[in-house]
Amino acid sequence: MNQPCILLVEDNPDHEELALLALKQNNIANDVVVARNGVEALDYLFGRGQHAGRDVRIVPAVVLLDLKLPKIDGLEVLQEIRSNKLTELLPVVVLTSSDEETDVVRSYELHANSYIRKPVKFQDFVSATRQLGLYWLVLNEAPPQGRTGNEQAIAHS
Amino acid sequence: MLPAVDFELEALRSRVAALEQLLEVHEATALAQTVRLENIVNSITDGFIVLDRSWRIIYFNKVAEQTFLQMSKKTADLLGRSVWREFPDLVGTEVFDRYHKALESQQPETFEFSYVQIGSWFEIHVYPSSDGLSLYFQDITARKKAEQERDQLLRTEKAARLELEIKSEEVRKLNAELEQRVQRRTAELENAMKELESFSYSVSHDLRAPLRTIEGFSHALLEFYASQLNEKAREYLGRIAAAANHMAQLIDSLLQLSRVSRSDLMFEQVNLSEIVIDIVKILKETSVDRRVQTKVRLNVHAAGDKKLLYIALQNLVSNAWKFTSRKDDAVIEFGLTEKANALACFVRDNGAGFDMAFASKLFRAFQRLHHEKEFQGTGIGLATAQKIIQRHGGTIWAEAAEDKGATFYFTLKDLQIKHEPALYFAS
Repeated sequence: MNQPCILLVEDNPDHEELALLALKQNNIANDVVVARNGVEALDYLFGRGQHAGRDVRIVPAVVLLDLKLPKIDGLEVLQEIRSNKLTELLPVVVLTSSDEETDVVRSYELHANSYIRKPVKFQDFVSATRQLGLYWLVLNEAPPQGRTGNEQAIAHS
Repeated sequence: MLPAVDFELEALRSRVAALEQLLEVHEATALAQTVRLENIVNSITDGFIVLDRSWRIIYFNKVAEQTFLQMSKKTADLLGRSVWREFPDLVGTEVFDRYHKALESQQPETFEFSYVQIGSWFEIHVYPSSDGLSLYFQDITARKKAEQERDQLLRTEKAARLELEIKSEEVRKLNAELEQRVQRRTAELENAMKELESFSYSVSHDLRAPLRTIEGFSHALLEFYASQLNEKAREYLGRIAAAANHMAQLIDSLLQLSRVSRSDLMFEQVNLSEIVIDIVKILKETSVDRRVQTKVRLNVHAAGDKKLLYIALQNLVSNAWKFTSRKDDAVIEFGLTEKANALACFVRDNGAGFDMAFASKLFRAFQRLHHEKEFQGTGIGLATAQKIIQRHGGTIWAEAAEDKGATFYFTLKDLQIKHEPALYFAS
């Protein structure tokens, strides 16, 4: 089986490219699925819209979630993820430019696994990505796949 | 003379004498009774007048007499005279009506009467009989005056109370208006705060995003395409990245300044010395090439918001750190001293200092006294420190001389050394 993918939820194409560069520089070879707004992210996770028919039991290793997104914002996406049986245990790292206390607090209230402010310095970002990759892709024990109740969860989603 | 007649005559004489005697006794008794009656009538405090059916005055007592005297009437002439002829000003008054009514109906009358001509009030009781009228009267002027005064007082009090109610109503109205105005202003202020917050949010998020792009791609070029660039090109890319970083710092400092202005203060006992030691430790870790001697007075406490005081001290100590960077024997000191009869904290360095002529510009945002090439900075740190100290009710000022170092003093509530004897922490 392939390595699990990384779901990058990012609307800024520049930041998307920088994130891909940073991952590449850290030799992280996992597939990166990019969702450019909140709706796309949820469509991917729950097999809807352009992702209709996708096997939703294949969940990403980690979601890198920007907060300020068009259509459905990051906090709403997080709320959806946590309220669905399929994804409730999915590791979500909030990765955003904002360090407003309210954003940090809201993110943790909605059970984000961690909150990282995007550094302006590319080198800092590369080292943050390295640590992220090391933690979520190597050290972290992912929640068990194909748990019972998934079919039911799909029906409800 | 016939003896029988004589006898008869004698008997009659003695009878007459006896009768005369009896009469005398009766007369004496009657006189005594009249005197007694008169005494009684005179002893009462009411005026007492008797009129016959033809309105002639047939009796008045002493009190009545005195009343007549008050009216300048010659009392000797009054008996037997018509009351209406003697007192024509009473004709047609209530007195006139009531007396007639009582006499006709044979029912007693009681009423109060103001005798305007002499400025007196009387309470008059009229008792009719088949012979005429008995009048009792009392001068109630004093009582009436008291009553009038009381009425006047009551009226005044009522008026005052009414005025008070009007004034209270006005105050209530003003209060309600004020309340409304306060609510309106509060709403406006809350609105403005929300706008400011969303503005800060945009600044935080949206202004940083393009900077990441500039910085990131400059680095990407340097990283992945270095071989295709000559030295000049690489230097320019370095400059682009440095400028982007500087702008990011500016944004962060501005955000910090705006946050310290609006965040709520959480007061507690704060150990300032511990904060300074922590800041110094971090500075030493991040610039290992610097050799700075630090001296920190221990256990300097103050009441304040720990998070904000940390930021203020961070700005002051970092400044001292920065402006001693060209000194080989850099010394930074934190302590407590007395200034103008009050305790003040200070952060002292022996660095670049500044000309006191520019001291007034020191705490203004974006005002810098040194060239960017000499000492980097955003020009917001001291403005932030001042804002924090001011929000704590303290003041901050500086003493310095060019090339002779600077000392920043500030006051706070409950500044004190705890756990004497205080020692110094040196590192």
